[in-house]
Amino acid sequence: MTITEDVPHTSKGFFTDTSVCIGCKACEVACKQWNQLPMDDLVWMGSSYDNTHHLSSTTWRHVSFAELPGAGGAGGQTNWLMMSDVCKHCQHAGCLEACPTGAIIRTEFDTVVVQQDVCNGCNYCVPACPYGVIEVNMTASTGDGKAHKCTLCYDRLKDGLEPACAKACPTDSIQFGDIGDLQERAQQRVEDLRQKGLDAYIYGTEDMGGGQGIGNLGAQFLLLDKPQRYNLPEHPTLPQNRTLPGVLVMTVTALALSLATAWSLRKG
Amino acid sequence: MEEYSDTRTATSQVQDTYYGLPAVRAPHWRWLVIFYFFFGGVAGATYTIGAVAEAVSADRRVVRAARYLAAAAFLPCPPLLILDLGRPERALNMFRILKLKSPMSLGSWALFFAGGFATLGAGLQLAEDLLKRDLLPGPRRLVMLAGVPFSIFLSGYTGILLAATNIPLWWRSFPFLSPTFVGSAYSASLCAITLFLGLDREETRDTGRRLARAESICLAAELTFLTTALVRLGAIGRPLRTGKIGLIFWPVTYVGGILVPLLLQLSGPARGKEVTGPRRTAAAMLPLIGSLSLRAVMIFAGRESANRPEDYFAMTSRAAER
Repeated sequence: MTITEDVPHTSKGFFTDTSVCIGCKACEVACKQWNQLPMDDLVWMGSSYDNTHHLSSTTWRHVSFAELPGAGGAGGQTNWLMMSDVCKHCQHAGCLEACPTGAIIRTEFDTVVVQQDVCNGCNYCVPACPYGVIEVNMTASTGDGKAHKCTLCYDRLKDGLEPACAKACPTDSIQFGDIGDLQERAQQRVEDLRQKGLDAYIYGTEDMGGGQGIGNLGAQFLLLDKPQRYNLPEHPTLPQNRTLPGVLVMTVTALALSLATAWSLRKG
Repeated sequence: MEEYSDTRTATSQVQDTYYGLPAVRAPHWRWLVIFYFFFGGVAGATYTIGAVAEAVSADRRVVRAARYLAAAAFLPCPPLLILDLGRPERALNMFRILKLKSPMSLGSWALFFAGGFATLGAGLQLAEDLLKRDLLPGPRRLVMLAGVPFSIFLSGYTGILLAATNIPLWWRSFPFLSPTFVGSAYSASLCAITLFLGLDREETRDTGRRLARAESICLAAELTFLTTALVRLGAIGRPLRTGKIGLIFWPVTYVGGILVPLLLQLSGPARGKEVTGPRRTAAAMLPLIGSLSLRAVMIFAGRESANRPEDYFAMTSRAAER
């Protein structure tokens, strides 16, 4: 991984080091408290300590518990992969590109934020996110019909405070700062862990987790297993890469059928 | 490039998802959007057919039918879309900006202008019908053609809208989804015009034959694009091909909505005589049902596709075909 040279000084982001995550969910709680998010319906998964399952319109930090039973051979010890997932604040965000109202903006901190007074709940940002993060809250009781996701605590950043989740994390698994600094720190940590024999790598670079139009991720992760084990895609694509070619193919098809129809209907 | 092990544990090889939970989210779209996709497509295609028919001096009755039908198909579109918004009272926010990379933004503007032209066309036609004379035929032809770019966009952009997402089934259907929608919108529109003119009427017999020929071409195109999309989809097309959705897709959309009307239309020329009676009626109605069902099964299959993380991961793995 190379450290991006042209990242402006104000670009803020997260580095989530899953190797020290203990699954305490303090980040989930701190996020909910600060952002005044309602509680979710509790659904017991039955196979994991995870009870929120994914990020949603009311869960902006989600701690996943991937169980690795019998790691190290039959009868071996069960390992947990714990990871606090969050909006990736992509360099080129699918949700932002899709939003037809301009409700989703890039802030002065290079983060991606939904302006709640503009969003009209069209839902198009939802399938445009390559990570299944953003959601429109349509639940009858608490739903306001608008799209919600992590703001990287935009209000706290404005006041010079770090985001609530990073503040609450007891093991510094969640680190906040300038993206350039975080990338250096992440690289150092990967090297340290590799020297100790762990298959650590960074998720959120052009080569892994980002790229193909998305670029680097503003929230990067140190992972210890395949990204799919954390419910993350290996090499996603910015869906809007297909817009222009799609328009060209459609136009050619429609023109051809229009000509064929004109030919059929013409007099003579 | 960062490396990671593929062989850490037996489980990570067998179970390459996170408890099978979805990795991407589907939009909440249901029948309001499905009906919009149908009416919008028909409005766009009908308007375009009317304008090109006028340009090549086709039967005036076709032009007249197309003008009225385009406006009639456009009419339900804005209410359907507004009702589907999470915050319907903010519908006008769609027109704050224009985003060239967002099919939703482009489509909102296309609908706005195409709807304006469709209403104008129907208004002109009504005035002509009431006054019983031709109003400025020269400029009218040009004005009507000016609406064609927007109408063409409206006839098929919904296929791009779906393809420019991360839902495996919609993504993988690219670039054939939008052409399929275009073919389906055109065949449905030709059917609507045929039905508007009345079947088996002596004075429109020649025009009916011409409309049937155009319908066959559009159905053949639709069939080709849809079949190509199905082949390309492979295993990712399972939510469309199988289960409850498959029970609608094969009989109603693929066979009943495209194949049967196409064969009915072609059966006449093949036997050296005209298709009339119940066969003609069926051929002029089935594509309308097929067109609506195509959009319905695509939306519902996409929603199911979003719940299959293995499909999404297959498409986003480094080894995936680009």
